Amino acid sequence: MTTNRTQASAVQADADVGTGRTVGKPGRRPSKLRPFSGVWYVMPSLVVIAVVIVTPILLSAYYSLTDYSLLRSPSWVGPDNYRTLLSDGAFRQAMWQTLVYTFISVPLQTVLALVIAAMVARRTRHRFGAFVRSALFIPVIASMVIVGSVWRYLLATDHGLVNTVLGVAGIDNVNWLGQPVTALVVVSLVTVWKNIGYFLVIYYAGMLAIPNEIYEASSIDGAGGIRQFWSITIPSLRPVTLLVVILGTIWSFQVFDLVYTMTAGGPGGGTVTLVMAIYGAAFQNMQMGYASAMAMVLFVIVFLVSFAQRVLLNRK
Amino acid sequence: MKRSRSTMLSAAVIGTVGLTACGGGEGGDVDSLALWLPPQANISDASDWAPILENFEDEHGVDVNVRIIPWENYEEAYLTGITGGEGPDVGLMYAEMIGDYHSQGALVPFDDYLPNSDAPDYLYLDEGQVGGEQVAIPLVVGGARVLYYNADLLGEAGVDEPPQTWMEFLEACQRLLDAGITPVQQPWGGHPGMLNETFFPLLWQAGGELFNEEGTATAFDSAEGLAAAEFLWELRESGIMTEAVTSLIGDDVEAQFTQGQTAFVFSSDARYPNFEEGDFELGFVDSLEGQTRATFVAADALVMLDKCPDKQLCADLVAYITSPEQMAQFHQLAPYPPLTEGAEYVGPQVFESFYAQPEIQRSLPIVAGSSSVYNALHTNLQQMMLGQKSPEQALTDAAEAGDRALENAQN
Repeated sequence: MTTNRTQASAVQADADVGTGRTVGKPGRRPSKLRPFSGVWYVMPSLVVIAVVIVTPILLSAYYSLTDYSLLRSPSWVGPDNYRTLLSDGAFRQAMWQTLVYTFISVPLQTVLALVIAAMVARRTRHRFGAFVRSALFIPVIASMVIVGSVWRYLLATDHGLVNTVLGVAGIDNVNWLGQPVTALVVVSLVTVWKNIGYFLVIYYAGMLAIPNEIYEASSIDGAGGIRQFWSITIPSLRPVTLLVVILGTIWSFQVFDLVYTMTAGGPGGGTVTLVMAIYGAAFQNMQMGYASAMAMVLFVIVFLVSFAQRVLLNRK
Repeated sequence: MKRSRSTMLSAAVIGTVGLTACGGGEGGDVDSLALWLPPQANISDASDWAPILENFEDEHGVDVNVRIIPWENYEEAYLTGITGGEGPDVGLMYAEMIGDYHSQGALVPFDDYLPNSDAPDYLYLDEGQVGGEQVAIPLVVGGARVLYYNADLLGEAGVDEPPQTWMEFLEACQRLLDAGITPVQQPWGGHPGMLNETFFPLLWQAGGELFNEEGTATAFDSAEGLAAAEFLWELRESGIMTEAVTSLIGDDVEAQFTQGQTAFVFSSDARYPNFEEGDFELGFVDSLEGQTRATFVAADALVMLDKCPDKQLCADLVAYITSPEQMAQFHQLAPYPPLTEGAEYVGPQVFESFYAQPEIQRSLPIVAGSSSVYNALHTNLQQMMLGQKSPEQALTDAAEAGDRALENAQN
């Protein structure tokens, strides 16, 4: 019986190779598998996630159902904060402006990053290839506050560089940051300028992973550069594009620093975003319960976007 | 801004009654106190406060741990610090903060403690009172908003004397405009704090008020408030201020003035040295006159937090810091007007006469929820400057949102 058990264990151990399960060393008696033993290996990560991510989300969900100012204990108000959100014009305006900002910045930065990455990838050995990649990455590592301040000066109505250049072409000064519509568009475009280097690097890495043989074969079949781009590059980069779109969307919904630096939410509230509204409610109006309700709405949006990414990536 | 000693006297009476109860403080063996302050003029590091505080530390056997909180995240630092139990025992707050913290029971009034301290003869105690309680002791009174002018540009436009009234100001601006000179710009693309130099002085000059006496409702949606808003709108509509004002922040406006591109700027006395560097003859008017003369002066004040383990010791610290000897040291690094009777004025000499006129100096009242009110007022006046709302509509909408905010904050 003992022999049979040992043989059975050895067979099981062989079967476990490559599956990630615990196996005994050859020539020794295999260690006994303990139920849930893997839990201990991931416990440090679980604790960190529970403390840093799950607990704040649960607390925020709880506070969203309370009247809470941080200085006083929260008092339960049920769904009142959410009811107020429904009738809050400022919240609806912030949500709408965040959506507009997202719809401008995400498609633009995705398409531009893809196109520029394709151009750079085709010139990997060109002496300026590395320089272009590095140059486009500089805005990514620059501080949001510095980026915002620099662009404020460039876009100044009276003596800004942008209007000066347009003036040479005979175009009158544009009050870029002084009108709600242009301010929102301009802030979205600066975001594109800031993010494009990051997404370019992701696309570039994805392009290098596409086997060159496919391009060679298509060339033999007579496909040109544009045809290759449409029929090989774009389909091959589908998972990368999904990642870029989802990341860009999540970042757009979380935008704060850049807008705060460039317009402070103005003029006339025309560039207040969702996170700025949350910040104002929490730290200026001391309405942490109400701010938490807004934060939960943002959380649900980001969660749904992330969930959509997972579903789309898993689809064959 | 009224100078008052009556409050101190009444507080002294109340304090004498409770003297024995207060005694040496309830904290027992307190070995350190946390003091939170912002950077001020040439004070940017906690070590700058060490010489000022060392006698107090020796005398009471405590360490006063100073933390300098940057202005950029001042309110967040207080809110998160206090919530996390790591906030200050004594700290400096501005009026918008004091109202909220006081209404939520986070501050301890000084009335029971200050009379037992060696408190000096303060000039601006009224600025720290709420509902008859001495909630705060002003530490920094200054930052007066005045109307600077470029005398050279005024001369070019044939304006021989600087304007003193609203009408004279409009006439001077029109002459400048006719001479092809940009008369004035304001930072309407900035934060609500810019109301200190744009709307609030005009409101007071028109005879209006921000809140009712109890601080329970807004009061700017009035005939006086409308006069102030219409004055601003006239500046914008007539082209005296360009359409670019809705994108300008304080630095932009001040840079334009310093470079001689605009003839007037409403700004703080702290900017005088910068403006002096401009290549022109600089002058300023204390306050324009509407129905009366008045302008904004900041009155940032020391408060005692509920967390303080020994309230008497904290009150002693505040009395010590604000005493003439320590203020003399403080004012060497941060030259603000004196806080106490008889103290020497060490600020810029050109502003000495201004600070000798307390009747034209106005500070923001301490009202819970006032930050939200100013935000609403700022947004609606911005919309007025964009031409999206009439002055009436802007004030009505701001008052409606402001009253709602006050109700939320005070109930």
